[in-house]
Amino acid sequence: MTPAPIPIDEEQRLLALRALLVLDTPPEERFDCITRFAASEFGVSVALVSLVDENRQWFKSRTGIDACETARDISFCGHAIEGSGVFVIEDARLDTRFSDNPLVTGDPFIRFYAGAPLILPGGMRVGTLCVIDTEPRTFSRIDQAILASLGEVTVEELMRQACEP
Amino acid sequence: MSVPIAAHIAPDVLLADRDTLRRRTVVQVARELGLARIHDTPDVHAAVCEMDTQPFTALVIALDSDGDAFDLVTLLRCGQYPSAASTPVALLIGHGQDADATRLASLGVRETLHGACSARGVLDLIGRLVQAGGG
Repeated sequence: MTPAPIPIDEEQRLLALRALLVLDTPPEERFDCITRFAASEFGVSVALVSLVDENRQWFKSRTGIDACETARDISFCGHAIEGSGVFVIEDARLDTRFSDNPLVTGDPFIRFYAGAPLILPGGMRVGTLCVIDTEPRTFSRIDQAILASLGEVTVEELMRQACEP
Repeated sequence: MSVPIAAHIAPDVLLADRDTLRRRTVVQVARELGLARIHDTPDVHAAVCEMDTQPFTALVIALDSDGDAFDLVTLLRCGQYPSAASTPVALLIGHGQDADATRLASLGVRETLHGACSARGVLDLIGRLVQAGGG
């Protein structure tokens, strides 16, 4: 397994994440409606708004999974925030970075992952909107565009929260 | 998927859909892919105002409860708007809504999507309508 890398701008990234004042806050319908839409749109079992904190990924919204966080080093989202495009793993069992990942070999038995990085206006990638399934899948360019668009809506909601008094 | 990537100016399509998240997703992805320039409204009343402003290559209208969508298509077929009377039209028909097949046929409604259709489904639909409309 390849542990999730630490971005070179990690310190600033964490500052930007914490300035959102969203970590460890209760679920909110405005985020939950996005994950429900994403799970339905792609016909997957799980959709998450995942925020990558220093040592964990914490889920602001989750559809189809009970856990509210996992360790960062085993997270797929920790890899997804390394780039600016949608990060796709069509079959985690066939990818040496993830084939022996405990999230693949054990519950929730991830086979497919696609995550759109949540990029704040300042360029910091604080997390992802991601979809997950227990079966391998393909994910077309149009699928990626749809997920990226939903990711932009998620960022708008995060920013709206940060700007509210 | 039969979405053509436009090498020309994207055709103008009117989308009236009350589902905000789906509507916004369709608008953004259609623009990004060069499929169409979507003029979006949340309901038929706003769509009627849009219809007066310019011609459209195709229309995708979510069926409303009071039949205004049918009135809009009727006026379109009578040439009451800047759009061509033959403009391709599709209707989104929600759960629990009923649309008479004979009426749809008489109004020249080309396609219908039923139930909780996906953004991808609406994008595919727009791709087919644009091709039919010569866009």
